[in-house]
Amino acid sequence: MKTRLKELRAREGMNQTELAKRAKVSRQTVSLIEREEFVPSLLIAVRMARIFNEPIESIFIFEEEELK
Amino acid sequence: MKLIAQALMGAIVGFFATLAILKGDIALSLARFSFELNLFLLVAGALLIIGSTIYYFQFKQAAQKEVSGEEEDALDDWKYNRFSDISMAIHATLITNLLFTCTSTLTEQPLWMISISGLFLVISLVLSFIKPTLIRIMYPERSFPSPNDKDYSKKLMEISDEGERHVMLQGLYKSFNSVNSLLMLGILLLLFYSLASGASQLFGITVIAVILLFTNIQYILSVKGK
Repeated sequence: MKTRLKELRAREGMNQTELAKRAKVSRQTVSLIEREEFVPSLLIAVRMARIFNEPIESIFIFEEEELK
Repeated sequence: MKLIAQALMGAIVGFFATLAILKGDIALSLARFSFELNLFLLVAGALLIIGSTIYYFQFKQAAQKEVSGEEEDALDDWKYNRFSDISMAIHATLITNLLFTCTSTLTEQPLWMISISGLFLVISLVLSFIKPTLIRIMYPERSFPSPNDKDYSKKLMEISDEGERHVMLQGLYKSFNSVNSLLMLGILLLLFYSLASGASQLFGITVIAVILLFTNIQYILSVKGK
């Protein structure tokens, strides 16, 4: 899974700590997701999509192979 | 890595097995070097206590800094890594000083050595007890359970988010597998040491076997049917 989280965070001028607070997760979790080492739950994905006002699938991008 | 570990295990087992067969009467007793061993443990224990204490105060000082933006993330990252270093140092301190207390008592060292080992063990226990307070300093906004709480580990797991649990699971699973392999290697080493030295380690072997059995059954029972 690829993610645009870092790019969107930069766009909003937000650091990881702020995003973590708004998404109600730890900064380590944000960091793990940004490093593409962890796939978040649907709940966290929805919260992040709302924070950036973007559809989930434009933030978390799956390869076609992963969806088969 | 696995291949190296297997080769190393084979070499150690092979060495002791050959030694046991060729020189069945050899006394591989550590008693001959007991004073030097205890002295080494005393220095190691002291250094670990000093190192852990320095890390602890460095952490407390850094945690008070007020920063924002990217610096806030960098500081949080530093605190997270330093907390891991402190945990590792305190675990090493406790285990080393427990070993020091055991060896100094069992090898009948002078009273001053036994007293120092006891004192070091108490300091290590105090360090282990105050370690959880660092989590509160690291995350003042989160309500962590008290270290005195009998369900501390369970509550700590509950308060962790899914990313933190993912990291813990990876670490614990790796550690669980290592403990299994290393304890089995330990049993083999004790067996060959018993054969080579003539000093039976049967009690130790039994204790390790019971621990292995207990932890594996505990794991299977906790994942069974879920």
